[in-house]
Amino acid sequence: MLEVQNISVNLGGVEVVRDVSFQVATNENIAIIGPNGCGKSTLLRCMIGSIPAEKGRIYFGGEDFSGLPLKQRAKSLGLLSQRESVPSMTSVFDYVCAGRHPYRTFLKGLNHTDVQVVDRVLEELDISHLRDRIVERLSGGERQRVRLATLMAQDPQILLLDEPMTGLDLCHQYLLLQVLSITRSNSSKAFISVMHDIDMALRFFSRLLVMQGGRIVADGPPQEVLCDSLIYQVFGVRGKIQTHKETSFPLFVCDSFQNQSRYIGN
Amino acid sequence: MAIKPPSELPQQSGIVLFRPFALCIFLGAMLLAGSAASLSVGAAQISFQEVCDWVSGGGELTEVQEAILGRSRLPRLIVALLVGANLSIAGLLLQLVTRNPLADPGLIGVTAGAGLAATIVLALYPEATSALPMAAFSGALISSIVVYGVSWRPGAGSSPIRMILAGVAVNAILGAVIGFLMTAYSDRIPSMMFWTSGSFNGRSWMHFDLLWPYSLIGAVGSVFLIPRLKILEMGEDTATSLGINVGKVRLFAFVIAALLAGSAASVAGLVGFVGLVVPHLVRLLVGRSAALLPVCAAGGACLLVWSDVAARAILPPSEIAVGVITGLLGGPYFVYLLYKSRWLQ
Repeated sequence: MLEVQNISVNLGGVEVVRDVSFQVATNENIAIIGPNGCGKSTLLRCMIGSIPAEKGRIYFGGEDFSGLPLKQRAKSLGLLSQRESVPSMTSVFDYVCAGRHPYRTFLKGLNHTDVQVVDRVLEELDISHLRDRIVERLSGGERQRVRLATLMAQDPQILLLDEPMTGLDLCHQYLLLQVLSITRSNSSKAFISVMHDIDMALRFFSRLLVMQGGRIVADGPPQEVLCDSLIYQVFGVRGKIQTHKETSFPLFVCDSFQNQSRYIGN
Repeated sequence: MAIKPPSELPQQSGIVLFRPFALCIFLGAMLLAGSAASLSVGAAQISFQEVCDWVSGGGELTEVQEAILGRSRLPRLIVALLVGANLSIAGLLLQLVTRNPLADPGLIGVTAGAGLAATIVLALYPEATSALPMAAFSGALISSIVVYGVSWRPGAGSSPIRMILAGVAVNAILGAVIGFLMTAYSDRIPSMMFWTSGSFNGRSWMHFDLLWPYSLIGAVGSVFLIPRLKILEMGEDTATSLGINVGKVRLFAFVIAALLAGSAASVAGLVGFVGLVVPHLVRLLVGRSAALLPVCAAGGACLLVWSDVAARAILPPSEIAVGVITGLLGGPYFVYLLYKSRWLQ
């Protein structure tokens, strides 16, 4: 469905993403992990066209993504960004309605379907009780769910999620994973999600992209690509991936770590 | 794995967003009353009753009274309505696009840019009055882009305080050039005083004809722009992800704001603070982006009509410049905003 070919991004003279290539098929769920500043967010921002790629191309369904009409792009790829700001005096419902922008035509208001979709995602993400509240006055985790709801209302083919768990409490983290997996199985969407929780990445994602210094250093099923030595190489953390006895879920247990600043920019 | 979140505690209904319906009724009533007052108040005494009769087509007015109403007070009223709507929509667009609650066409030098361009036209081509709005628009656009460019820093965006300071500087420079031109061409620029404080004195149907095409283009452009600017408020990445061309929407918003503010300035001169106070209050009261534009336009029209009535009623028979009234109302509000604001620390 999506093909990223040799993308490089240069931000202020620093090559933040270097020659990244990968393909995404329908129904895949991919986690991107890597240390801070390794280019994960920049890669996602570049994919939706928020920052230009210095080199490389992105194809969606065989067509050059940058050549597609803007609204069609919005129906293909959608991003939950970390660089968001909170608009003044906007209710949760109106905020999430912005997600329906790609489906609206000039001067046409929200139609019945739009309202239905918005109410459904509010319900799914457990924020329908906040429908009329003002976004500015919500807590961080509630706001994050409102942003997620906006992306769900946008309903793109591939959802790019930049640290979707930020600010969510334990229950809502699992709720989000559940909502995403239901959406994926019902409507053959794909997800690419930047994760920092190694355990969640191991357990809930079928494919892992490991980034370091702007490059992809490993790509494959989490259990196969992620080993103790790779975690040490990328994060500077020594430890073991163990299997939890009762549930047989993989768990990473840290022994020791060293300052990883020597890895940045190499 | 099926997850049910714990039932949430009952929330206080935190909604303070004003019901637009009540607001519309209030504004409509204020507009009607203001219009009637505006037709009635002035040097020649015409009572409310007579105005109402005249509007409904009846009544027994003398020919002089009819001429005063039809050729002087009615166009003056309509010009005031349009200028008010233009200025507050321009302010709304500028506040949304710069994400800066202090963006007002007067404060950030847009009006002064329009004033200088209009002064140049008046000084060099005194005959070309129909070119005035176009010239004012160009001047407004150039100065708004200069101010935005000066106040903008990569990564940090446009800081409110920087923008106000840039506006002070641009206002000072442009004001100085206007002052020079006024002295150098004092024979050709008879009524240039109005650039320093706007007025609706003697505005006629000719001014209405100059103004309305720009108001119309501005209003249509704003209908297109405001939902997009509201999405842009959510962040550039999100806007791009939702299919909005961020650069184009920004530029277009500046062009439309300059069109509205420039045309308003070319017929009424410098009427300050309307574009600051009205959009700011409206955005506090109205959340729905669809309601922003009409409520803003009505609010601005209302404010200017009543200011114009006050300008005529306070010191009869002389008339105070309407810019003085809006300054008296808006200046303290500006001070209050500065005092309240968190982002200046």
